[in-house]
Amino acid sequence: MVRKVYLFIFVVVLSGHSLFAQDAHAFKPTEYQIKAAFLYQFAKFVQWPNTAFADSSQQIIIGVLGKDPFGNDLDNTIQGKCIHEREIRIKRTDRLDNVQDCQILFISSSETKNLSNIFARLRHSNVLTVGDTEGFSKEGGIINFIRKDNKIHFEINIEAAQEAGLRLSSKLLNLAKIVESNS
Amino acid sequence: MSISIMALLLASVSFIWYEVKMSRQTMINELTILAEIIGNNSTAALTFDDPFAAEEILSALKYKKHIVAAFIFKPNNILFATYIRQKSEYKLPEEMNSYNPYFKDEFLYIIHPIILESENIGKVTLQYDLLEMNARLRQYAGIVIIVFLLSLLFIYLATSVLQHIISEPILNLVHIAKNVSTEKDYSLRAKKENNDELGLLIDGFNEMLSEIQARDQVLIKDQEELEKRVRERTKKLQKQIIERKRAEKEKEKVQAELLQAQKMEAIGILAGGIAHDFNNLLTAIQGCADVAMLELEKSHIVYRDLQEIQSASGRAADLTRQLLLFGRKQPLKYDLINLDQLIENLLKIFHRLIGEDIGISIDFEPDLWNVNADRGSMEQVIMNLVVNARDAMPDGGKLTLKTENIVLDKPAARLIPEAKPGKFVCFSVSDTGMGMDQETIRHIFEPFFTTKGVGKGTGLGLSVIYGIIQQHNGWIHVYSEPGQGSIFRVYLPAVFDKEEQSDIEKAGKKFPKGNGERILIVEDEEMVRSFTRKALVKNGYKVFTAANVNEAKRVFTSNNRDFELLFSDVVLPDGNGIELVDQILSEKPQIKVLLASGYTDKKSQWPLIKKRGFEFMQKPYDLGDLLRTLRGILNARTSLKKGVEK
Repeated sequence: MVRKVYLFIFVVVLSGHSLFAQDAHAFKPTEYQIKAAFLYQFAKFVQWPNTAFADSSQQIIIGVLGKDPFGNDLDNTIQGKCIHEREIRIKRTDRLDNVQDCQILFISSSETKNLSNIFARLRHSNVLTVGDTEGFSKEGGIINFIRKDNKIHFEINIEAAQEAGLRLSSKLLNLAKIVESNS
Repeated sequence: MSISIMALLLASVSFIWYEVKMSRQTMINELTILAEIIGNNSTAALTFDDPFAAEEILSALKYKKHIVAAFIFKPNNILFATYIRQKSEYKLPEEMNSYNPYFKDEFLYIIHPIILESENIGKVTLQYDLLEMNARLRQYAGIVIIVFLLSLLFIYLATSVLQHIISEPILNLVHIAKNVSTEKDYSLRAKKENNDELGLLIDGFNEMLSEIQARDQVLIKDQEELEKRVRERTKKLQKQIIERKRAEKEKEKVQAELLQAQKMEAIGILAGGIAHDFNNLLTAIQGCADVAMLELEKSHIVYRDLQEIQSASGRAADLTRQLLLFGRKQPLKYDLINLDQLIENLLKIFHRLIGEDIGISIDFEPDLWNVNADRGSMEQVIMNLVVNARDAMPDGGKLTLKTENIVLDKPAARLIPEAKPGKFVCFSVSDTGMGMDQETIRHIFEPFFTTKGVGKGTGLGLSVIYGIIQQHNGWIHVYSEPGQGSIFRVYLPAVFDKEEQSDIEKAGKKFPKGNGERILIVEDEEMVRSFTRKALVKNGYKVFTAANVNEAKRVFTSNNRDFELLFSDVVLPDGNGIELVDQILSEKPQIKVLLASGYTDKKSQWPLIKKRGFEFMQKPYDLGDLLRTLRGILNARTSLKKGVEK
């Protein structure tokens, strides 16, 4: 039995494919399911300044600005989970005024035209801005989902993160494609 | 040395074991930290599902030469990232669900969890090749072994040097000490090699040996001296012991003899007492019979009966005399005696005395000469010899009694010790019994010598005989050989006097009578007193009587002291006869005196009587004796201070 398992693993390793790829065939998650998971996981690799929270028990609020592409996926992902011992709450809104208390803010592609205005408003506001729009990070967004080799990756604008007062883990940075602002 | 080796070995093994353990622990710690770092760095790659990033992290392990393979697993043990240095050697860990490191086939496997935000998001495993560590350990072991061997060599060299310096002299010393104790040879000496402490010890040892040797010599000398003294003392003691034993034996013998003598004395006193009373009674019986017979004609009807009384009382008197002879205290009364007659009279008693299995044969000389002898003593001598002869023949035999006349001339007399030339009567008693040896013969006449065993015989018999025979101027000769019987010959000087033995019956008519002489009789025994008075009155004497000293004195004075003779018993109830005689004599010195007594012991005071020269009559006396004696005294011109001995 043990030998069979070894043999199986050995074959898998020799074939050069990751188990994830094999796995994907079995339970292939949708694009937004993956992005919802990532959105949640980013919090683990980001350090907010103490001023970003009113007190220690305060929740982490993930905001979705504009047209919500996740449906129930985001809610399912954060179901019953904590980050840095804080509960997670989702806040969906169309109004830029309502996102000041968010720690993570997903900016929907519906807001593409308004990006420069949004970033101008959120500069120095300790909000981790995440998007999935071409040129999102170059505009001034901190993390932007991209597609590479048929997989979800992300690019990071370190400068934007520094401007927002956030410290991103080097582990996260190792995985990301680093971009700079246009200007 | 073996202890040193053991200790060294133990130390080396412990060292190696410790080194192995420490190395492994160090390795485990090191690899665990490495796994932790890899896991920590891989959290993001795992979270954002980027295996290439993870493998890139793992590829950093290429700088760790001995890590053969490393894997990162997602939860549920799904392989996520792989690092393999050499394909042929790697293996996936067998046990994925525990995080314990383990060693297998020269590899160390580390399995470490990957934690993110206290959530287990996967695990990292490392496969470490122990070749390097083992090589290092082998190197260690080699060094340890070399050190061990060097130490061994050093110990060996050190001990051999030490042995030469310390052990050898000590062993030598021990060897010498052993030899000294087993062979007791204190002249041995230990060899000294150095002037160190051991040298001093050896010097001390040798000095001690010298002292012991010197002391031993003194001891041996002392011991020899002591042994010599002990031997001498032992010899002396043995001699003393032998002497003491002999003395004790002698003492025992003397005590037994003394006891016997005391017994004899007691019996003698008893016998004497009885004899005294008997003598008084017999005097009365005999006297009365005599007086009665004088009154009667021979043809009278009771005359023969009186004769019978007379002869029976005569025999009874002989018996009491024999009883008194027991202690030989009676004064000898010499008479002319024909031994044939004497023996004849004793034959009846012999037959009763000697058992039926012993035959008696008699061989008498028909015309035997007379001897001047005490009848009782002679009877005692003969009885004694007969009894001895009987005792010598417990199984029966023949006893011969023989009498003969012997004439010894001077040459013949010289052949026999104690013999004198002259004419002798010899009577012999011979038996066919067990006989005696010369040694026994030499002692048989010694007082208390007996072959019959203590208590059986008195041991006095033959010594008494010897004394009696000597008193009679005779001697006794014994011839015996063991198993051949014995013969005792008694020699007594013969006497040639025409006077014949008085016969009571014949002498009766010839009694000398009195002529009215006044006699004072003092006798406490009523019967004797009355018989004597009657007899003397009948025979022409004037008689006064008194029962004791006071009465005698009263009678004496009330009759104006008019008495020719005082006849007094020696033993009186209120004094003794001799004192009475003295008092009477002091008042009337010319008065004649006759004393009588039935006692033979102290009470009779025989020696005093003899010394003072008083006439004396032994009780029981018969009428003839009394009348003859009285006549003799009264007829004598001067009776005082004249010996009574014949």
